[in-house]
Formats: sequence, C-alpha cells, structure tokens
Amino acid sequence: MSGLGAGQFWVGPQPSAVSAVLKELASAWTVAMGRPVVTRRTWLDTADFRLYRRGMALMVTAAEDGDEPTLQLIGADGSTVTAGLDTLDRPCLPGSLPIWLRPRLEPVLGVRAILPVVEVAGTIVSGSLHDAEGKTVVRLVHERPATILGGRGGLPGGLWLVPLRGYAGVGARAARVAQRAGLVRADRVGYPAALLAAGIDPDGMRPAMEPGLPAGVAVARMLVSFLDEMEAAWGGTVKDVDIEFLHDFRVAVRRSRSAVKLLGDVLPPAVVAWGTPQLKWLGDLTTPSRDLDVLLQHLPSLTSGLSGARPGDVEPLERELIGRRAEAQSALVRGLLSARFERFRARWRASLEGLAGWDGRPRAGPTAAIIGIERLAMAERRVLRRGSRITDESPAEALHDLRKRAKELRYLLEMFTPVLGPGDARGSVKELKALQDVLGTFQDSEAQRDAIHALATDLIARDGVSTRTILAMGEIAARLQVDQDSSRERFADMFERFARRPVQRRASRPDQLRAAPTRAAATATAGRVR
Amino acid sequence: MRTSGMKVVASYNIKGGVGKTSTAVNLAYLASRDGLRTLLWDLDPQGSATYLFRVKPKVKGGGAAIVAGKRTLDDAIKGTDFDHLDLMPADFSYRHLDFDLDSRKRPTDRIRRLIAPLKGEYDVVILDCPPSVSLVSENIVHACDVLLVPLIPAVLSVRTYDQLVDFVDGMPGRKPQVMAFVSMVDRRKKSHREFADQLPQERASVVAEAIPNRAVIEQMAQERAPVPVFAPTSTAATSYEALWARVQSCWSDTRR
Repeated sequence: MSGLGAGQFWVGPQPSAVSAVLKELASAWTVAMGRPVVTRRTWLDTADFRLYRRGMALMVTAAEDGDEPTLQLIGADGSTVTAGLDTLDRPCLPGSLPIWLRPRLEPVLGVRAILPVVEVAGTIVSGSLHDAEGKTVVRLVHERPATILGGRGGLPGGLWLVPLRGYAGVGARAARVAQRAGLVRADRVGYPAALLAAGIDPDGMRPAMEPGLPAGVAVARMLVSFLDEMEAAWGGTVKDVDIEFLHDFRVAVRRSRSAVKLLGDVLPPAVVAWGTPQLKWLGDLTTPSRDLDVLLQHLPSLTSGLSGARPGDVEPLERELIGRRAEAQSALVRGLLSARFERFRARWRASLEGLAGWDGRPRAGPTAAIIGIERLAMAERRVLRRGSRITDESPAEALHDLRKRAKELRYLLEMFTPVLGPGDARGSVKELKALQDVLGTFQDSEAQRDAIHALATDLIARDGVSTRTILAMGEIAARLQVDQDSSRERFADMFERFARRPVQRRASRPDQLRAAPTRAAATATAGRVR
Repeated sequence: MRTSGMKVVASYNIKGGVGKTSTAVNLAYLASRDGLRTLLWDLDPQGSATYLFRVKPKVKGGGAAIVAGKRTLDDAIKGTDFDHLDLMPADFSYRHLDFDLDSRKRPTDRIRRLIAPLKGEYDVVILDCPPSVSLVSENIVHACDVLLVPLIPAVLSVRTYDQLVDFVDGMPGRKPQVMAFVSMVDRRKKSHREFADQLPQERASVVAEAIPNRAVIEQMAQERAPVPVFAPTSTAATSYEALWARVQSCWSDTRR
C-alpha cells in the first residue's frame, strides 16, 4: 500500500545531485526511469483547512501526456489511496465525492465543501529500483523544481524514495546512498510544503488583544479582524459554496455586535451610532437562510425512525424547506451584493482602521486589560444573575435571553484571551460551552417547532398536501418538544456547574489591572491569539 | 471504488491444474486496478503466485510461525509492482500447513482469524489455495465470503464439484457463497462448448463467465505478470474482466 505518503523526499543543493544519486543507485540495483511528464498538481481542502489540520492531503494530478487525472488521498498515517478520476466538481460537497473516498473524508469534512487551495506545475519523472528478480523494491519519483500557479513561490526539486511494503531494508540502503551524495531529507513535503511555498498559513491567527494597548485601539483592531473574517466568508456565502461560509459570516457579525455593545464606549460615539444599526441589519439579513440551513441539516435525524410515517411522507416538507431556503438565499445574496453592504464594508473598515493605529505615546483612559477584566466581570455577573433567577416556571424567553448573555460572555472570553491567559480562557470557554449547548438545544428546538407549525399551516392552506405529511410533521414537532423539555431539565445542573467556577476568579490579575498603555504594545503583531 | 467491509475470495478446487492460481492472480490484479486495496495470499507450497509477482518464496519462520501467531501476516506481506496490490508469499514450508493448523485450538478457523486484523487495511483478500481436501481447505471455506471454483470441461470435475457443494452445505455455521465457472475452455472442441454453455443452465451456482484455454495464460509464467498487464486486449484478459465483474456483483448476496 505504499505511496508517496510512506516515502522520503530528498532534496539537494543543486538539481544535478539527484542525477548523481540515480547513478549511484544503479551500481547496486537496476534503475528504470520513465520519461519526463509535465504535471499539474492541485491540493484540495476546505476553506478552514480541515484536511491539513488532520494531517491529511487530497491531491488531483493531471499529466500533460493525456493520461487520466488521478485523485490521491494521503491519510494522517501516511497511507495512500489513489484512483483514476473522471470529473470532480469544484467546489465539491462531501456527498459528490467519489464513493470510495466518502467513508474516509466525510467524518473530517462535515458539511464543508472542498476547494482548490494550491496548484503547482512542474516536471516529474517516475521510476523504480528493481532487484535481481526484476521486481520493483523501491519506487522513485524525481520532482524537478515546480512553480506555484498564480503565485511567485516555487517548490524545490528532489527525489522521492518510496520503498514497497516488505522492502524497508532496501529503502534504508537507498536513503544512505542519497545522503552520501549530499542530499538531505526534507522535513516538510507535499501539501504543507506547497502551502508554505504559496505563502498560505493555515495556522494564521487573529491579531491579539494586547493587554497594554489603549482600550480603544485594541477594540478597533479586534473589530477590524472580525470584518476581515466577514470578508473572507463573503464570497463563499454569495456563491453558496457550503453552509459554513454563512455560519462563519454570522459569527463574525455577532462578535462585532457584542464588541460594539459591550466595549463600544471606548470608541467614538459617532462610529458606534453608525455601526450598530448596520451590524443589526447584517444579522437580520442572514438569519432566515441560517435557520433554514440548520433545519435542513437536522431533518434527516428528525425524520429517521418516525413511527407513523413512511419515507415518502416527509418529502413534501423537505421540498418546501429547500424551496424556502432558495428564496432566502436569493434575498441574502441581493443584500450582500447591494450598495448598502459595500458602503458598510468600506466605511466600517475606514473608521476602524483610523482608530486602530497607535504611535505608542501615553494616552488617557484604560488599557485593554483593565477594560477587559471589568467587562468580563460585568458580563459574567449578568449571566449569573439572570441564570440564578430561572426556575422551572420561568418563561422560555428567560432562557433565550440567558443564551444571548452567555454568548456575549463567550465572545469576551475569546477576545480577552491574552488577559486571562490561554489556559484559563480555554477552561472558562469549555465550561461556558456546556451551558450554551443546553440553552442552544432549548432555543433551537423551540424555533424549529414553531417553523414546522408555520409550515404545516401554509401547506394546509395551499391544499395540496397529504394528511400523512401533516401527521409526520406533527410527530417531528412532538420530537422537538421532547428535546426542548429534556434540555430544560438539564439546565439547572449545567448552570450550577458553571456558577461553581466563576470566570472572575480566574481573571483577577492585579498586575494587568495596573498596566498602562505602553510603547511595546503598539506593535500589535507580536502576540497572537486564535 | 470501495467494498463495504473486507471481502475474502478463495480460488479453490480439490483438483490441481484447473486454473486456480491464474484466476487468483488475474482477479487480484483487476481488483487493485479498480482501486481496491487488495491482498493475494499464496497458500500453495509450490508458490506459483509468489513466483509470478517476482517475490522471493521465503517466509521467515515458515508457515508454522504464522499459524502459531509468532509472526503476523503484517510482517510477511510484500508490496508488488502494482499499486494497491500486496502479496503474502508462500514458501515450501507451507507443505506442513495442515500439521501446523492441527496443532492449534479451533484449527478449522485459524486462517479466518489470521486475516481478521487486516480488515481496515484491505478491501479484498484473495486466497490462492492448494489442491487438496485437507485442514487447509476447510480453513479456506470458513474464511471466505466467496468460494470461487474453476471447473475444467470434464464430467468428473462436475462430480468433484458436487462433492464440494455438499461439503459446504453440511458445514456448521457461516457459509460462503459458492461460485463455479468453467475454466480452460477450448472453443474448437464441441464437447467443451457444450459443457461451458450447458453447465450454467443446469446448476445455479455455476456462472456463465468462462475462461478460455489460451496460450497467453501460460505466458504469465514467462512474463511474470497478470494477463491484463501484457495482453490487455486478449480474449483471456476480457474473460477475467467479466469474471471479476461477476464476483463483485455478488458482494451484496454474500451470506453471513
């Protein structure tokens, strides 16, 4: 099962070094090399680099000799699976992948589409080492220096030594020959090397909230980074590449709204007064599509094993949801392509970038650390106060409100990670997340149940739907009610667990509270947070 | 393409010289060519499949070490010249395999248990079996999902096949799907033509995909490669393709 994933890539100071190695290898084995083939290699991944993060790589290789393109998956363990490829949609959703790839990729990709990330063109010569029986024992691939398409970088040339299974000893001997000839084993090969050469950094992080920065500068920089995230997700949302682009866009909008609401007093009032309704507009614009995405995503689990329904009974519901989702998406795209959005983007960026610069001179007012600890404490007190008032008799609105406050606290925790320290922030987010999950299930179940009721009313009014479909929808609504009731039952425990370990205690850092804006903090590129 | 779970196909007949190894080698190659991660286990001490893939007929510790679990299959498997196709070689020590198996607990189930750990690694395992009725053959029948039986066009071969089918039917527990095909058919001979045409009609477990008796199959030993590699357009290659398609079509019918 050997493939390049199981081999070693040896690079030399000069391209001629590979020829020297091949000559040396030929003295011990038979070396058979093919003809040079100009090849285009395209690495595919999701927009958030899920394959890279799992140590995997998916590559399409198209040779100019007319051979069928191949698709190769290299697993985290180095195992390689290669197969011919007729066509592959780009972007390609997991459900459209070749069937043999799905079991290995679907758990990693989730709902995300795969897209071309890096394209490299170069010449490759494949060959092999044969033993006395004429059997291939080591595969050889001579990669000549290649260029990154659409970029300036390039990949160095070198020689792959890929011992076949059961011939590791021969592989080690061949590696020693390469080493003696002056080649060194490359530590970064394949996809990670191509990303580096293309100047793409999947581990790139958001600029840090520097604790010593003036609070206004720090908040403006954070809002710029959220706008960057909105812009990064904009194209995929408009093109409807996958549903996570819209989700990412909305998270950036929500983080911006929370920052403006909870920290906006450190910004000029005119900026806040202008930005607040614009951000609300974006939140409202994106809600209908996202709600339908979530409902459609949950539909298979909601409809599986319905006791009184046949599979065909829920098809009208699915068709209706898909139709409504298409309408919502059209409205969303109109909004994102509108002059209003472009005005927002340009003016918001200009305003924030004007506030994000700092020459390092002392300024009046609090530091990011002071404001962060103060606002974290306030947000946490708000969550604890409102949560402790909730009883079994409290209306659903009280839990919905608590969910919003918990989200605000979560965003503050993420923004002020350097103030708390990454370890403490992660711990607090983890505990808060468990509470948020319960509150999320509670609210989502209710929203989805309401949506099902509204859909049923519409379908009946249209007079074309069967009774069986309506009954199936009733059963789905009943399931959602059970989910909501069970999350309410779990709420008290989760809240108590969260309240037992307050964030405030973790954030009591007198040294940071005393810190004033410093010149060193002016260079915001030093520290970075995820 | 992938199968749902690892499938085990055994090429087996009580008689020798009927085309078992040719079948195993060519089907293993076709499976790997289709992108299936394939292992061919040469269980025949003659080591013909091992020879055809140019692998040295040497198993460290011999069959005894494998059967005893002192060495795993993983240690002994060799990559072939073809992508996705590995070989578990045979050596002459396999002539004692019956004795080695007999000395273990649950001796009829040993090969199945040796293969089981390879489940995540291979989509298809093809067993090239020695000709005999023995503990090895009983193991093979227990281990496989499809028992593929080449039948030469002769009345006696049908009688032997019937005995094999009776044996499988009488076996306790898990049973493979038995699939026979007519092998070494000389279309110039009327008796061969009639045999190859009639037998699939008379017996449901005999499929219509027959393998012709062609010199190109014998050339495998000179070329040391499967037929589709050096004679891809030959009738023999086409016949093996058809047989492989038929074997694949029965995955969903495999009895568990």
